Amino acid sequence: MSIASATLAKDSAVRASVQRTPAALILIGLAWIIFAVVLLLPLYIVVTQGLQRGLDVFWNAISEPDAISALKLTLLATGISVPLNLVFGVAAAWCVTKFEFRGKSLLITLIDMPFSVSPVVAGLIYVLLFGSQGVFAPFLQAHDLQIVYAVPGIVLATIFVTFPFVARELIPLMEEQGTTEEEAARLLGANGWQMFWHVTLPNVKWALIYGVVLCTARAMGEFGAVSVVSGHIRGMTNTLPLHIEILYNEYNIVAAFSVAILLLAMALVILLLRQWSESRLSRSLVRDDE
Amino acid sequence: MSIEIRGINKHFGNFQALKNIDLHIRSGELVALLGPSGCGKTSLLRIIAGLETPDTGSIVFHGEDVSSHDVRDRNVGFVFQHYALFRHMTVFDNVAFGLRMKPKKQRPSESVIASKVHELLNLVQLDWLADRYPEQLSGGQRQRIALARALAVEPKILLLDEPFGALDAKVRKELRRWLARLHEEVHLTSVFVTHDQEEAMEVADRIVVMNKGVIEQIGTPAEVYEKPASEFVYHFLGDSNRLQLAEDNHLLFRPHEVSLSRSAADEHRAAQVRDIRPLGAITRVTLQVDGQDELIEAEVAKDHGSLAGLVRGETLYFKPKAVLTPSGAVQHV
Ligand SMILES: Nc1ncnc2c1ncn2[C@@H]1O[C@H](COP(=O)(O)OP(=O)(O)OP(=O)(O)O)[C@@H](O)[C@H]1O
Ligand SMILES: [Mg+2]
Repeated sequence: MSIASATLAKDSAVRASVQRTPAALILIGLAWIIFAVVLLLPLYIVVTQGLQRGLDVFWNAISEPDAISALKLTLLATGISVPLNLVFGVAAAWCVTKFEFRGKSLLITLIDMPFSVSPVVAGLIYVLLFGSQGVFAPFLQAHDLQIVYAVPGIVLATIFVTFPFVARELIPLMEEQGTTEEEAARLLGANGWQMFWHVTLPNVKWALIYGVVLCTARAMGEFGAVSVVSGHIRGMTNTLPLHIEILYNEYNIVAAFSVAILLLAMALVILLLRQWSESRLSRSLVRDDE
Repeated sequence: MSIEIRGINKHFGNFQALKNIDLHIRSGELVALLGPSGCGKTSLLRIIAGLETPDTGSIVFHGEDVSSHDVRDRNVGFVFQHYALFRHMTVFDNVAFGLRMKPKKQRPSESVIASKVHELLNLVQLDWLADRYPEQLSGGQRQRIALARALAVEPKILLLDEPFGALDAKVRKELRRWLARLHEEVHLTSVFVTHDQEEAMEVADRIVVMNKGVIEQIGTPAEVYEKPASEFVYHFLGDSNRLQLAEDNHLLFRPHEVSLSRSAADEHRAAQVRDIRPLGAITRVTLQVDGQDELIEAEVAKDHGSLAGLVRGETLYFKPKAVLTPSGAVQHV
């Protein structure tokens, strides 16, 4: 720890000396101006627009039944997809980094696919698979199951777009750490589960939390893929981002921005969690380097 | 507990890392696996521990074939080349790990574990480091903690992969004497890997010399030194000179087994002095012989008569006192 704080102190000393040059001052000023115009101004507008008719109107907009149901659906989709992707991500990272097998590089590429495929295409894939004209349509109709334009479709689409976050965070770290600590644990009599729980997991703890935070942020904010499979049924298949869009398209600006404030507040909490886990992660990496 | 290694072969892809390895290690023995880098020492050690599966052959512990036993059922203590301490655990927790992982019925209580851990930390003389993390330890300290951790589960067999490899010469020396003492106290069957012949000679009861995946020779330090089974073993166990006699005939001899003379003497060959190096108790003279590029080194006591006033370029007469004969044994002449 003392080493980490020493490094940090040295960093800020370096930064302080850089700040004094005029060029650096101009660049930093520019960065702040761009930051203000591109990020702070819109945030300011969202907040003032949402609150322009007072807190009562804001409160009504976010507590009306459709908004509540959208919030619930967003939380449900996030609540299902994040734990599933946590399990999947840990399993994938584990098998990619601790074992040698055929098709490994293909698997690593496939894990990344949701990053490279447009979310709209991802949504369409689910419609083509589970829609009324889709591949599984006869089976679904026979069993009276509805996936597309219903909650399961939204959950599936959210899982798809947030697929890589956890695995992506873990793979590089686990690759670097190698397998000798696991081997040492087995030699000392640990079974597979004990080895995972007492050795592997603590070694990747902060990267895991960071991955989960990123995954959560994306799951809450996902628009494209969810939009395609949702069907936009108010009170039924609307998530918060979709609800905002509907309100906005109906020229219900105040309500749209009010709900946006809600989503924004949730994102801020996640952002703070991310900041916290990131700093812990970099600190544990500094310790590993020593 | 004795270890019997029978007909082990191991391939990595197309590369054969181990070829027909047969080795019997008696109970309580301390055996060194000695050989150059890449000759398969680590692979053999990992196969004994069960971390690697051989293509063919079997491993027998005390009469019981353990080839199909999982790593955790072999009860082998293993010290990794780079320690492999659990980085997020304190020294105490590292050493306690093996005891805490035991099935509920066999697991000692926390207080028993604590006293056992402190006993082991005292054994490796590092009890005062119990609350530190591995990253806060020096290399030699990590090494000893890794040893304490391996000993905690009371293995009958201890395998050490270049236990002193990453340490400086002085610490190495201390630690290997300490290991030899410990081996006697705890009475284990131990196998340790090294590529340092001096280390092997100093610590081991028997030395297994390996080269390119095969065992070149098995014997006591005196045997492998005095009766090397091959030129490879002879070279690997110490400095050596090659003296070309004819196109396909040469002699091998050690630098310290050379007789020097300032004047022409019986059976001595003439050579030109290229360098004179005082190395403390001995002095090394480098000689150039007509008819071969390879230089000859001779080491004699620093007050040897032939050295008085010797300068480079002078002619000196030398004769090997003991040579490696083609039949294998070192012959004193
Ligand atoms: N997992 C592996 N995959 C492919 N080749 C391997 C693997 N492990 C070892 N080898 C090869 O097998 C040979 C023997 O390796 P090993 O690690 O046993 O050597 P070593 O005698 O311990 O060498 P060193 O003294 O450098 O540690 C080497 O040529 C190495 O490249
Ligand atoms: Mg090795």
